[in-house]
Amino acid sequence: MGSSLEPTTCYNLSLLPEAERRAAIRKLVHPTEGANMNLMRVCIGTPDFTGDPWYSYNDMIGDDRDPDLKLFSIERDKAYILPVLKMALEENPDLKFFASPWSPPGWMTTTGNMIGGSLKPEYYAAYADYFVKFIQAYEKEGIPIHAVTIQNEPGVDRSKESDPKWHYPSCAWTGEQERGFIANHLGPLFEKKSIDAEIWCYDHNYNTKPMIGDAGIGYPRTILNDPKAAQYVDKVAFHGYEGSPKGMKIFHDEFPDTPVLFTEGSMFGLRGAEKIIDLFNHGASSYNAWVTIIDENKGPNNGPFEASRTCVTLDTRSGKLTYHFDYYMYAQFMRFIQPGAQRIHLESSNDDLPAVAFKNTDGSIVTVIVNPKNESVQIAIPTKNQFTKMQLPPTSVTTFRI
Amino acid sequence: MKPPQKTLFTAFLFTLIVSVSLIPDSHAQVEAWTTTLDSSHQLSPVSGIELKNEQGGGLRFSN
Repeated sequence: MGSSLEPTTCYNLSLLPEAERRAAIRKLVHPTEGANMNLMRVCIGTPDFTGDPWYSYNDMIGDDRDPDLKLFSIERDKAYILPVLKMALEENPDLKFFASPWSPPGWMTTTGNMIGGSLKPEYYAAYADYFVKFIQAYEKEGIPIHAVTIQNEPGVDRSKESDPKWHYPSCAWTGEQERGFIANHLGPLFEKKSIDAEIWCYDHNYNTKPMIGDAGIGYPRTILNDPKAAQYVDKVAFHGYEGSPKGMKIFHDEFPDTPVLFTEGSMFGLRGAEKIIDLFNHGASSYNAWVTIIDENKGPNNGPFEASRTCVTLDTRSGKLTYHFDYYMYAQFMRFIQPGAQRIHLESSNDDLPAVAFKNTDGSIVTVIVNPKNESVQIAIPTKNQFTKMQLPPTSVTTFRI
Repeated sequence: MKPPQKTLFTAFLFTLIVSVSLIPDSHAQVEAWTTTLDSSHQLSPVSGIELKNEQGGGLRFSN
């Protein structure tokens, strides 16, 4: 579980003196002194949340093309992204990164830029190589990439928006296109180059019926129904901006051998904790918030979506970081539910107290319970030959470990 | 995390016996931490946990 170390967050962290930056990163990722965020999303090139101009690792001028990726470079990430990722890995050596692109290099797309369109078929091979070069370059910097998604939100094509406000990096894919890319290009190339990063397909909403801009669960179904593509797909990634977690559960019941992940979506307040519980109870094997630290102006952010809030905020005038309720709420899950934990059945006689339980690999059992009521509630927890009574404070998230 | 154990996940009617049987003797101790919306508790250890030496029910709640 974790959040993201996208450019906005990394930039804000880079503004802090080194000791304070390290302390802040420790509070995010350290297993015992922090929230134990142990799965963090990073970006392959630019996302929408950045204060920098949009960029890829292979930008060309005018009509220039570089199908052999001779000019590929991650140099721009060395300014403030890679230093943060390296420090995060120092604070939590078990931290895993998964990476998503918002767009291929502009010259590979039908629009000729990074604002929408789709990947030109003649560049499928080059784009697969782009992933390999990214993984190898990050590995060389000491940042192993655990997994990649093919495209952040492949249903979105922002070039179709008439208001330029919405023109941010995106690239539209159909399930059939992603299926072909994985089956014929990315999967075989990973195999050939001995790239052991996992491939997580889809990375968009869990709506059951296709909508304009949100293909829904039919998209990954198209991919997994093809054995040639499915052999390379390790997991399926979902967002929650359309549909409900039931869609993810429906999908997971169809493909029970393929884990489903929740890769983007911040949750806020007690209701947020309830939503995270709901995601796990509908089959999610992970949870990732999106955008971890914004400043007092909700930035830097060149994209159109305003981050209503994040779990941590930085006041750049004073250099003060504020850890909000949501940071501690996330930690109620992340610090105690360890990677490799198995969700177990939990029976409650009170549906008003959402809860989820996991068995950690060390045998401990962790339960997270939300008490949304304005009064304390007594619960009874069974243990061997006895039971334990405890009070849940009003409007609280409580974790107990047995 | 790995996906839920299918046998447990799909068997919604599994009762407290399943829950109890998952708990080894060595772990028959409860620790708890809580965070409240009003920030009076932030990952704070919960005190006053009361152990009762009697056979318990499933995870159950009461006001």
